[in-house]
Amino acid sequence: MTGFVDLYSEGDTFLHRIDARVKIIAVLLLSVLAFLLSSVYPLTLLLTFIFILLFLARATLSRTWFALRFVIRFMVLIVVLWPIFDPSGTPVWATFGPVKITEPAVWRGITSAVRVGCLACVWYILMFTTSQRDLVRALVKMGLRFDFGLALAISLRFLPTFSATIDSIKDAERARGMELDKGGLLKRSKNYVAVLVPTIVSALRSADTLSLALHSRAYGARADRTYLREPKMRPKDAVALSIVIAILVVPVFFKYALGVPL
Amino acid sequence: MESQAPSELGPEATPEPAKFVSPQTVALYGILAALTAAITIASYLPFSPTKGYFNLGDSMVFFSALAFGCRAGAICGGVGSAAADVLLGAGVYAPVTLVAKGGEGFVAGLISRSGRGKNWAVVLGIAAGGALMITTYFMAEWLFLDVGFGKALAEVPINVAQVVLGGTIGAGLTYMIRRSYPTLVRG
Repeated sequence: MTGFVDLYSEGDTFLHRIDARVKIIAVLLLSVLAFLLSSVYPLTLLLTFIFILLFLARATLSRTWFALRFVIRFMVLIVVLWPIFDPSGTPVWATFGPVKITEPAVWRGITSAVRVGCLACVWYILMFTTSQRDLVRALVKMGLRFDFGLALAISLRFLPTFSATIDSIKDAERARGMELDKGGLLKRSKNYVAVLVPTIVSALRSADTLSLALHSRAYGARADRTYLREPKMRPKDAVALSIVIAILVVPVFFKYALGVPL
Repeated sequence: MESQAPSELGPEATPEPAKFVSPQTVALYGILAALTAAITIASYLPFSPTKGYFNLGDSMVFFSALAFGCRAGAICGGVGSAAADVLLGAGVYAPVTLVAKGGEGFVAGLISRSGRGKNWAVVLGIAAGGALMITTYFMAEWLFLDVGFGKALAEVPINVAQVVLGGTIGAGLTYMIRRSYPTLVRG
């Protein structure tokens, strides 16, 4: 297994206690902010802010590294590849045949890399501090149809189950002499079919069982489904929401109304 | 199988039945999305020069679309692949994936259904869906994430390989599973 099956970890920080809807809105607004800012320093500030939040969410070092692992190579690659494909501007730093490395292009590459870093890490503020149940409930409260919310909840619930099924089917195939980790792309993909077929069949069987279970619990008996626990916005959540909105509005005001180059 | 749930269930039930999808469908969508994510994660293979990652998730997207229609393809492909992106640590791609793979599943399902599952329609559906996915990723990386033309272009060959392999496997799976377990593949 390469990834985690559930990124959430139990905790009692203020980020864990805050309403999940506020966190979803915060992630969206911070992403919008990352798109609107277009110079290096404010973006670096934003990245630092996101890291402080991750730190306050008691994300351990290994988890923070997980959030960054993929994106760091990505950022390096952007910085390296950007100047090669963008020969505009002066001063020119170096010339290799047709390729010109210019200073503004390098800065643009760095800016873009920091922005991608922000967009990648901001997700994990939400994912590390919100349980899947709260996440789905918040999405339904925000207007997702509850049958699709239920489908989402089912899929998150069954992800670890199917990962385990795939692992045991892989082991069974290995015991019969199949090599799944050897050979080129084509051979590997071909061998993988032997894993996919039993996995799909067993999954579709469990879908049938699950639909019987939903039937027996009177799914869809009422058009307006009710909940045992209704999430409520408390004053603290409202304060957090207004802080997040201010974080978006203030730089936008400075950039577009006062013309400060942010 | 779309929806027959609320009709005979008393005065509270809404008159229009399109409000709900039936329990079978909810279970099926959930399971297919989980399966797409699980297979994407299990067959994840990082590719060194560009650090895009190769996976067989597309075969599941195409399987959902060809076996269960365009809505299943869109929901399972989009949600399952986006969830896999978040869980693999590539959360920056998740919104793009939601649109790209969802569109891929939708188009593949739509075209193969309107051609009544004939071979040419399946091939055309996979090709059109795959082309849509590749274009969406490329445009999103280039214009929306603003990663630069070179980086965006470097992803295209991997995506093409993914669509060709995934499409072949997905169509094969649909055929095999429909033949051996006709009761499982409804709709």
